[in-house]
Amino acid sequence: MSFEKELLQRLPKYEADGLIDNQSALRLKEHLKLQVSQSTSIFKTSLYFAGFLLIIIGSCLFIRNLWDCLSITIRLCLAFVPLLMSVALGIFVLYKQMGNLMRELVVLANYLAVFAMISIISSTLNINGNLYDFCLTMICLCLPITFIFRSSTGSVISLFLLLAINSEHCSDRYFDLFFNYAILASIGIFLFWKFYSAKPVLGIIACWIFCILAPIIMGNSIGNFILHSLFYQTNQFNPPNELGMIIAMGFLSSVLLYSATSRASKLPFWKNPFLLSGVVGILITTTQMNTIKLNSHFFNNMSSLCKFWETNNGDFAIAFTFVVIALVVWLHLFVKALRTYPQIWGSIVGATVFILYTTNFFVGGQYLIYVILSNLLMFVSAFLFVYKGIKNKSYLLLNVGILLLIWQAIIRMFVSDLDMLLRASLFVIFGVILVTTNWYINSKRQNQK
Amino acid sequence: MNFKKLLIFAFSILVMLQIIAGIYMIYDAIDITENAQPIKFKCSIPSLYREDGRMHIYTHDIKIDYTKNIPLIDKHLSEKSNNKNNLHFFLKLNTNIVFTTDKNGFAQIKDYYPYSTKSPDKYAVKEVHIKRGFYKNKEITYYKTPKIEFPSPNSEMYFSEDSAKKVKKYLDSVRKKYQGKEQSELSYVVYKMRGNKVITIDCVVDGKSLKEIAKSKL
Repeated sequence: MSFEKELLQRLPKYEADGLIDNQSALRLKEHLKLQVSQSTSIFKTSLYFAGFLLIIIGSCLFIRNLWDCLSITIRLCLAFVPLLMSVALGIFVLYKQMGNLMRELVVLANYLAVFAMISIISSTLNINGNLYDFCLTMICLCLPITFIFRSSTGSVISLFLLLAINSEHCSDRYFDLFFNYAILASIGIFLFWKFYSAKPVLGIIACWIFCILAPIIMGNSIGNFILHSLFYQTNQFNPPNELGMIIAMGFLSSVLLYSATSRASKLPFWKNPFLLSGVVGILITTTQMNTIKLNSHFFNNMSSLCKFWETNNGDFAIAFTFVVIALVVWLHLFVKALRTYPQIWGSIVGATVFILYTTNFFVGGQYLIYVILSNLLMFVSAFLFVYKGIKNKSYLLLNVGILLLIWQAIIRMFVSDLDMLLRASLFVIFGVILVTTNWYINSKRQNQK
Repeated sequence: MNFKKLLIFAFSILVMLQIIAGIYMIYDAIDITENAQPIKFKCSIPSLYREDGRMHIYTHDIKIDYTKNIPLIDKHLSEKSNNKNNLHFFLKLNTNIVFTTDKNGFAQIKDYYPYSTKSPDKYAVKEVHIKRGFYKNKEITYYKTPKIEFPSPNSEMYFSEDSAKKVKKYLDSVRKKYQGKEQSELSYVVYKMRGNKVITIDCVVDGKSLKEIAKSKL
């Protein structure tokens, strides 16, 4: 129970005991009631949001289930539906002159809608995939919209598409990768520097770019990239992605823990780039671990990891050193974070899982343990964020938790052994339960009032 | 017109362009399907895989006889002709190729151009795998004409869940039938191409069209 609620309950007793006069008690009662209603409105809004989202996902799965029965003409017409929805949202946002967040959402929705349109048309008509043409088309069609909405998200997406074009056309892959990372790192460093010195708006943009860059630079370039080149040079193994991800997880956990130990810990979550990048990075790596099941690379990589384990050459020593470095850095910062103060224990739990991943790697890399750990990490973090958000009345923490749950729901939409119709039904049922329960509780509370 | 209305107008125009791009994509694909000449490419027995909850067919590297003289390939073939260990080798070709068909409708190289030039009738091939022959009972058998293989230009061919079951059953039976035997002449995929735009029309395995198998009743 929150402090305000408890005080509200004790107020009549204090009044009866003569500790507080009548008028003050009335004023305090009104003030506390407002506080309590505000905290429930956060919860109410989030639950409605999550509920409606589950219903939307469920509806999409229903359409997907019917997809094979639909004629080609209907499928092609449906390809334009997301675009029309994004148009309606865009015009509404422009007409109402809504804030930055809504503007960014419209641009993101437009990029996704164009992506969906191209994908559905290609898959329906069996057109071949061409990364170069796809990226160029996306940039040409969507980039102008970022100027209309003054969006940074759109520019970042276009930048990544541009880098994808660059990768596609460069013959020397490693140089190209290095070049891309160098560009990204420069942009990241520049904006990060701006974050500390310039306006807050730019700071938030910098945070976002940094949090997108961090998993890529740290995860891929420190983890995968070094191992990648090592194993390709020796021509003995496929790149062991799992090992790269474990190392990335270690570094990202360290970034996250650094957020609690450094001067940045005084900053709120939203403006703390270490915390934000750590959370997003771990989210991405965990999702990769989570969804790796359907990836055929997984089994190849597992066999390569087994070979890797048996080997005695220098590759093992180097990879082992990287894991140990990640582990030591992580351990050092973990102890430091605990000694100071655990800022957000949801994130600390997330970071703790790194040690479990590493242990699992050293005992032979059991697939089931990876899956259990990843799902556990996702759900525990999500619930902790939601709990912390409701307790602290923080929209931000609550939304991060809800976002994690929705992220997980979306993953389950694509990757699950359950039948599609069953998945759709479950999504809709849970969505309806969330919305109706919320509605029932609210109407009951209003009746009581 | 105030600024708000101007933004809404500009946004509407841009979205119209996005819709037109989508409609053009459909028009172009239908035009290729209706008007382009079908080309058959030999390939190994394709496999089915699941992606985005749908079954795709994956045609492995496509194979064509090397009949047209391309200097880069000729140079490597002559260099490696004395070395028995170099029966297979990869080559970065980076060339645009124009395909034509033989009397049976199978692909042949008609012409080639440097990679940088783009024209609607050329298909870009980045890397090829050249095969001069194969080992059979520890003895080398050379092909009459070397074969070149390159990644399938389009492995997109979607099936519904029900159709996929029938196709999978058929593919498994063919794979079992030809286990340990030469499979190269068994299957071919039919494309309609215009430059780098490739549309899969059908895939024929052991004389039977997968499209027909997908439509048939169990």
